[in-house]
Amino acid sequence: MGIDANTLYGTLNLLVLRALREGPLHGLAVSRLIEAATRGALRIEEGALYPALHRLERDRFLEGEWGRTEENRRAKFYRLTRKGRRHLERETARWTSHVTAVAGLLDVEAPWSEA
Amino acid sequence: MDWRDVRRALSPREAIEEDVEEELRFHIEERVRELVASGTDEAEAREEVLEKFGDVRTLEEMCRRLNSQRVDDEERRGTMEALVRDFRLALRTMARSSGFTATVVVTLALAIGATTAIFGVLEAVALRALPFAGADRLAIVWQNDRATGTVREAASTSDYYDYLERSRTFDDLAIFSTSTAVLSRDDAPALQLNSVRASQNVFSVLGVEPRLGRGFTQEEDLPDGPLAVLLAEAAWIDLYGGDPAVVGRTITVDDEAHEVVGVLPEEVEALTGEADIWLPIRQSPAIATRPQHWVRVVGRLGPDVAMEAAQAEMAGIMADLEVEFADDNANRGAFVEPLADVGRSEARTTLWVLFAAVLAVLAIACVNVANLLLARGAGRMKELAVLTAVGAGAADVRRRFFMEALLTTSLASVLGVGLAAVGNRLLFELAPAELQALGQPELNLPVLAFVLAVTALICVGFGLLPSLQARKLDLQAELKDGRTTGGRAAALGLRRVLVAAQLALAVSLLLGATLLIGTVRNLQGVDPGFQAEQMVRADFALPAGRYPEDMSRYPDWPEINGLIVGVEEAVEAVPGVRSVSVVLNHPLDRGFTNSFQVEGRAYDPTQGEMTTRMVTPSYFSTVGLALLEGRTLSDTDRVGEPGVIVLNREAATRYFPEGDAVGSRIGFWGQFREVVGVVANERVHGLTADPPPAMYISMYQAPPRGGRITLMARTEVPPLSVADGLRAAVHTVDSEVPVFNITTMEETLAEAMGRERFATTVLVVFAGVAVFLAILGVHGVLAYLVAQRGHEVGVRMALGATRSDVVRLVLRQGATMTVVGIVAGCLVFMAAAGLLQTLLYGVSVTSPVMYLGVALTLGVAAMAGSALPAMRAASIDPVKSLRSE
Repeated sequence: MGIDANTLYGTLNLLVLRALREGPLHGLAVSRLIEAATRGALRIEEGALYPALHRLERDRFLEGEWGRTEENRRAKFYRLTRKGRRHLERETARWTSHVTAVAGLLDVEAPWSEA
Repeated sequence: MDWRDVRRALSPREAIEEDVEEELRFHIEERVRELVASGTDEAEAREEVLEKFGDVRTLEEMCRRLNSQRVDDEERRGTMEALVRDFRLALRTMARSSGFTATVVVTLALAIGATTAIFGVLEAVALRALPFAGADRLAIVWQNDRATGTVREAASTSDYYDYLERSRTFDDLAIFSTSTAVLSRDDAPALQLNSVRASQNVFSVLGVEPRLGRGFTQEEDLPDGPLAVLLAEAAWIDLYGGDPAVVGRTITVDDEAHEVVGVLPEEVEALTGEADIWLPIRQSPAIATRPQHWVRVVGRLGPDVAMEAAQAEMAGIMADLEVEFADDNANRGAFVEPLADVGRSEARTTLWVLFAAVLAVLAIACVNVANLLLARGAGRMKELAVLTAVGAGAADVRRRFFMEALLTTSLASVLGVGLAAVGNRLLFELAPAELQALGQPELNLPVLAFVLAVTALICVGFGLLPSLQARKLDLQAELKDGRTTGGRAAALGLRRVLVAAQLALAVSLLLGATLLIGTVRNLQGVDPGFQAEQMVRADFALPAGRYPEDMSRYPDWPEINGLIVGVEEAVEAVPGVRSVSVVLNHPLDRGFTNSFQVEGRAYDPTQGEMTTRMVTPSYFSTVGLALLEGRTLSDTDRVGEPGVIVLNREAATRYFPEGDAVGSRIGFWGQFREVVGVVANERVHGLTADPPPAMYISMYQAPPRGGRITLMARTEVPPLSVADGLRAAVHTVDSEVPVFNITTMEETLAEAMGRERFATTVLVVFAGVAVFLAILGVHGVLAYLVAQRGHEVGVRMALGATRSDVVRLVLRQGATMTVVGIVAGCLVFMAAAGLLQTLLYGVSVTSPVMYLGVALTLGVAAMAGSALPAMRAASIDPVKSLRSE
C-alpha cells in the first residue's frame, strides 16, 4: 500500500507544482503524471487534486486557462507562474534538507544519494 | 482565446460554478472513456471512476469556495492597480496641462491659505479653551452701574467679603487687581514691572499649581503678614535666566524686601494678561472698604451650577447690598460673565465677520476653479467618449476624476498651510493689541483638522463635478463631430449660475468693506477732545516706598509734589518740547470714577459717579482741550489754597442743567472744591462711546499715589525724536524712576480704532480679491461662450448681423449674469448685515447710495470683463468660421 499523499503536509502541493514545471497541463494530466512518476507509491484520491489546484491558483502559484486537448476537447490547463516556480524551488530545497535530516536520524540513505 | 475566457475576464464570479463543474466532468469523462476503450462496460466504468474520484459534490463545493476567494483577491488587487494607474495618469494629465494645473493649484492654495490664516486667529482668540481645569465653571463677577450705564466695573473689598459669605452657587471666590511695581536691582537700573495683587486662594480657584515653589500662605495674605512674591514664568526666565535657586531668595519690590516663594506657569495670564510678578493682596474684612471699587472677583461655580443661577444669585446679593448700604451701593448690580468670554465678545464678532468674508473668498475661488474644470471637462468630452467606447465604466471615469481632484487639492492645501503659517504671523502683527493679548495663533490640531475638512470638501466637490458633467455625455454625438452637445449646454447653464453666485458674494464683500471704510473714516473724523499731532507720551513709575504716602498728611506730600514739578521743569527744558504735563491717565485711558456730592443738595446716590482726571495745570494747553467757561486749573492752585476743579461739558450739563456749574462746589475725598471752569468733552471711553461726565483736579492740590503716572509733551519736532531727551530729563530728577511705554498720541489714537482698522484692512483686501476673481469668472464664461459659438456667430454675420449686433449679443449674456448676481448679493448682504453691526460707526447698512455705488462699480467692472470676449466675437471672420466646419 502506498503512502496517502494527504497525510504529508504540503506534499501534494509540491507534487503538483513539480508536475507543471515542464509545461501547462490539465488536471487529469497532472494526476497521471504524479501517478506515473511516483510509480504508484503515492496514490491520491483523484478528486483531492482539484482543491489543491484551485488553492494554488488562488495563491497565484498557478494560472488557469481554458484550452483544447489533443482530442480537441475543452479542458482547463494550469501553468506555473513565476511566483509558483520560485515557490517550487524553495520548497524543494527545504524538503530535501528535511528528508536528509530525517534519513540521517533513521540511519537510512536518502533516495537520491544512490543516483 | 475562447469566449469563456472573455466571460471569465468580464464577470469572473458568474463563471466559477460552470467552470468547476466542467473541469471535474472533463476528468471523470476522460477516465470513463479510457476504461471503456479498454473494454469495460460503461456503467461499470463510471462507477469505478467515481469511486476513485471521491465525493464530487464536496469537491465542487471546496473548489467553488477557493475560486471565489481568488476572485475577491483579484478584485482587490485590481482596484489597487487601478488606483496606482489612475495616480500616474492623473500626474501625467496634470503635467500635460501644466498651465491649467498651476492656475487651479495657485488659486486654491491662496484661498485655502487665507481661510486657514483667518481660522487660525479665530481659533486662538475665540475658540481655544482656557488653560484651566474645568474652565467652564470659572466666571468673573463684575458690577455694573445703572446710573452711568457702565458695565464690567470692579467690586469693592467689602462687597467681595459679602459675596464670600452669602453666595451658595460659587465654591470659592478670589480677588485680584493689576498694577505696576518697581523692581530694584543692585547690578542694573530699576525696572517697571506689571504686577498682580491677588488673594491667596486665587490659584486654587483657577486650579493652577505653581511651576516651582509654592503659592501664597494665608499668613502672607494678611495686611501685616510677611512679604512674599511669585514670579511669572516669563519674568523668571527673562530676569533670572530660569534659575530654580531664585526661589527662597529675597528681591526688592517697591523698595521693600520680598521673599520669592515660587514661579507661576504661563497659564495664569489667561486671567490677568501679561504680568511679571504676583503679590498677595493683603486684604481682610477688618480693613475692607465699600466706596472704592478696585478689585476684580473671579469665582469657581459649584459642580453642575449653571451660569444663569450664579447670575441670579449675585444679582440678588447686590440688590440686598443696595438696600443695606444705600450710600455706596446705589444703582450697583452684578454681571456674572464666563471667564472664557471676558474681553473676547467683541474680538469674536470681528473675527467671525472676517471668517465669513474669507469663506466667501474661498467660495469665489472655488467657483472659478469649478468653472475652469467645467470648461476643460467640455474640452475633454471626446477623450471621455473614447474611454467609454473602449469599455471604461462610469466607476473608472469617476475614479480618474477623483484622483485628479485629490492630487490638485492636496497640493493646494499643502501650499495653503505654508501660506497660512506666513499669513497667520502677518495677521497677528496687523491685529490690534487687544486682540493679540487674547492668544497667539498656531498651526495646531484644530487648525489642521479644519484644513483637512476644507480640503476634503473641495476635493469631493471637484471630483464629483466632472463626473456629473460626464454623465450627460452623448457618446454618438461626441464621437461623430464633437460640436455642442447636451453636456456642454447644461454645463454652460451651471457655469452661468456659478458666476452669478460669485458676483453676489463679491458684492457682499464689497458692501462690507465699504461700510468699514466709512466707519474708519468716521472714527478718524471723531473729535477725541485733544490734538493728537506732535504729541508724545511716556509712562513713569513712582516707587511707593521712596515717596512716602502718609495718609494722615494728605495732600501735603512734598516729595511726590517735588518730583512732579521737577519732572515738568526738566522735560520742558528738553529741546523740541513746547509744553509738558503730568497726568494720571492719558486722554484715551478711561481711568477711574468717584462718587461726589453737590454742595447745597441732598446726596443723590442715583446720580452715578464722575470720571476723575488728575492732571497738572498745563494739561489743558498741552493737549489742546478747549475751555468753554470760566478758567482752567492754575499753577497757583496748590496745597493750602482753596480746592478747585474743572468739569467737562457733559458733567456741567448733566448735573447743572441751569448753567450754574461755575461757582458751585462739589465734594469728594472729604472736601468741597469749587468749580472754576468747564472744558470740552474728551472721549476717554473710546472714540465711539459717549464721553462720560468728568472732573479735572490738579495734582498740585491732590498728589497721586505711587504707581504708574503719565507724562505728556507737545513737541515742535517729530514726537519720538525727543524720547531719549525725555528719559534723560526724568532721570536728572530721580535716576531710579523707570520710564517706559514711550509712544505718540497719534499711535494711541490709531490703537483706539485698532479693531475697526484691522477688520477694514483685511476686508478691503478680501473684497479686492473677490471682485478680481468674480470679474475673471465673468470673462471666462463669456470667452468660452464665444469660442463655442464661433460658428453660430459666423452664420449670423453671414446672414447680415453687424459687428455691433454681435457685441451686443455677448454683452447681453454678461449683463444678465451681472445683474442677477448683484441683486442677489445686495439682498443677501441686507439679510446678513446685522452680523457686522457692532463693528460699524456712523454708517447705515441700508444706505441706498452705498448699494447703488457698489452695484455700479461692480457692474462697470463686470462689463469691462465682458468687453474682451465681445470684441473677440465681433472680430470673427464669417468666411473662415464657416469654412472651418
